[in-house]
Amino acid sequence: MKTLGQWLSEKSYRSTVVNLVMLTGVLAMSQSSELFMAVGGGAIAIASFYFLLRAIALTARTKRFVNPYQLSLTWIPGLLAIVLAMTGLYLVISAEPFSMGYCLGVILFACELAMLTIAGVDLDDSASKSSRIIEVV
Amino acid sequence: MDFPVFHLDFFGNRWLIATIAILHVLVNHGLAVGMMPLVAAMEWYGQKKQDPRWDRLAYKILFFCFLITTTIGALTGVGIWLSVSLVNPYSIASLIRVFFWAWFTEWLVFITEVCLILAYTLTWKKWSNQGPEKKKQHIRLGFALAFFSWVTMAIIVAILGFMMDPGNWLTDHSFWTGVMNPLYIPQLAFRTPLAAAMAGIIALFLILFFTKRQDGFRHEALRAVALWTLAFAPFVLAAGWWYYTSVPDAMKDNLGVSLATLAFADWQTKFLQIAVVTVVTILLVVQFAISRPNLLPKVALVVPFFAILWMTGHFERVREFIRKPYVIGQYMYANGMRVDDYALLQRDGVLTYATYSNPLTEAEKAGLPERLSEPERTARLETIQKGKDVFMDTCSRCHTGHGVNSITSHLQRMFGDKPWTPELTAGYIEGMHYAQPYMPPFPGSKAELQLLGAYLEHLQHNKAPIPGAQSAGVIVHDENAGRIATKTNQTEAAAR
Repeated sequence: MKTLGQWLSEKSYRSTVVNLVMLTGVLAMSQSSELFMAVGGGAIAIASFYFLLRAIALTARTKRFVNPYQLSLTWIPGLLAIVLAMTGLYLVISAEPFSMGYCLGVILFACELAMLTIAGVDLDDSASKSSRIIEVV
Repeated sequence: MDFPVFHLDFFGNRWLIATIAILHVLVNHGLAVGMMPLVAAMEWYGQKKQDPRWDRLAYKILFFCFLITTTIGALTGVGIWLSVSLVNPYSIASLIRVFFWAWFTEWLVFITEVCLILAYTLTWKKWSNQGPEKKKQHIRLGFALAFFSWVTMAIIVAILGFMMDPGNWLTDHSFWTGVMNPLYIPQLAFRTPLAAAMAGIIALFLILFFTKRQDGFRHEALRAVALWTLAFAPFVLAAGWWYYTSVPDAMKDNLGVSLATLAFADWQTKFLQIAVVTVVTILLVVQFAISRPNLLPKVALVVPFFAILWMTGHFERVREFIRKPYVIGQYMYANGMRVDDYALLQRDGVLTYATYSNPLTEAEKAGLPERLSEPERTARLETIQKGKDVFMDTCSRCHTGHGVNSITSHLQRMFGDKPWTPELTAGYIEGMHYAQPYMPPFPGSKAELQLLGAYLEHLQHNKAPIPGAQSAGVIVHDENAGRIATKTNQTEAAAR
């Protein structure tokens, strides 16, 4: 238990990701597409908002120092995660519970929600690094 | 019917063409058209950043492509000509008449491409050591190679589009109308980003072999190439949709059958699900390569690598099939007979114009009813021989006797073990094109339909493989030789 707690505290996003996975599990077992749509859609919206806010802030702060390639590395992981999480959500609500499509949708939704969260947190780390660089410059 | 009939009775002729052509497309799109601009871009980026690691990686990938394209790529390119000339010489002859100058230009471009890839690969190290100006020239050489690779594809795609839908060429028969057929630009717009994305996936796979696990450059390279792949993905989807909506509705009706075989016509939904899973898997790996390249194992790249090969192979198979019953849209049926010749053939019979007969082997003569007198046996064998000739001339381009896509398996599925009497099978074959729109109408006379029926009845009891002219030889009918060919040439000359 102590090891688990230590592992969770090593990275700030780990506990959030574990919570998201558990939430997805509960939603999947509820077998209600309306509930999955409302709660899952809400989770995507919150995680997207978190990511977009940080991506915009980082882009604004570093626009004079980065090239389009670096800019794309900021935006693409999160945007791709949003698209794939929505694809997962679509699969879940359009397939019969526990069918092949439903199970793949649930897995995709959980993985991409986690990736979206991580992408947002990564930008936090990048922002702090870039602040230091800007201060040095 | 001016050529002896080449026939493979186990795998079927279609598999010969499909195997060679799909292999060629994978090499051409993935390692030439898509990869050459990527390699040149890597070299340019390494020069710009003054980072020799990009240069080394680009050279390793190029050398791999050089080996494959100049061996498998070149052999399958020639193999396509060989196989289509053997299997359906009439369609390739018609295409050469229309696209002679296109193919001649393509040959010149191809020769240039071969010279450029030789020069680009063999001068890499020497020119790189001769200063920045020479290096810039070398990079230009790379982009020139990329351009010529694309031009070869652009020319061939015009012919592929023409085979699906010749458009206004059917009325005015001009070269440029044939080139600018309705499916040319949508198909080219689709294949160009597809080739680039395919090259990206293959390059991601190769990077894991050409860089070390602990090397930080591996992550940098994976990120950059994953971005390249992703950049083309929306264009693949958009152009794919454009291409799909440009395909005539009659061809789309064949889609379900084209995805697998007739027995799996309802497989379409499952195929689309698998295609979605494939695309999502590719996107997942690309996403991982960008955000967490250090955690990406080799095995994870095996999935998108084979997925994109599988998708491209299926795409080519679908493209080949959905144009049925034609091999050249509304001009020539898949059996190699022109639509305009049908009235003549149905009046006089195909055997009237057949130059060659396909002799029965001893094994094929087995299975006749017992207690036949010698004259009856001779008469029966004569009927079966003529029926076999009708089968070889009208069915064998697509169907085998007992192998893949065999005519006997279709009859077994429809009629089971009850006797396949000529009345039963001929009655079905006469109207089959109404029930199954991907089948051409029977081209022969009513009497030949009965002969074909008698041969099919014989096939129910005789499981011997049907040999092609390449193994059993042919018998030449002198008096009929060349009659239809002369007429065809005269008709086409008058049209031009």
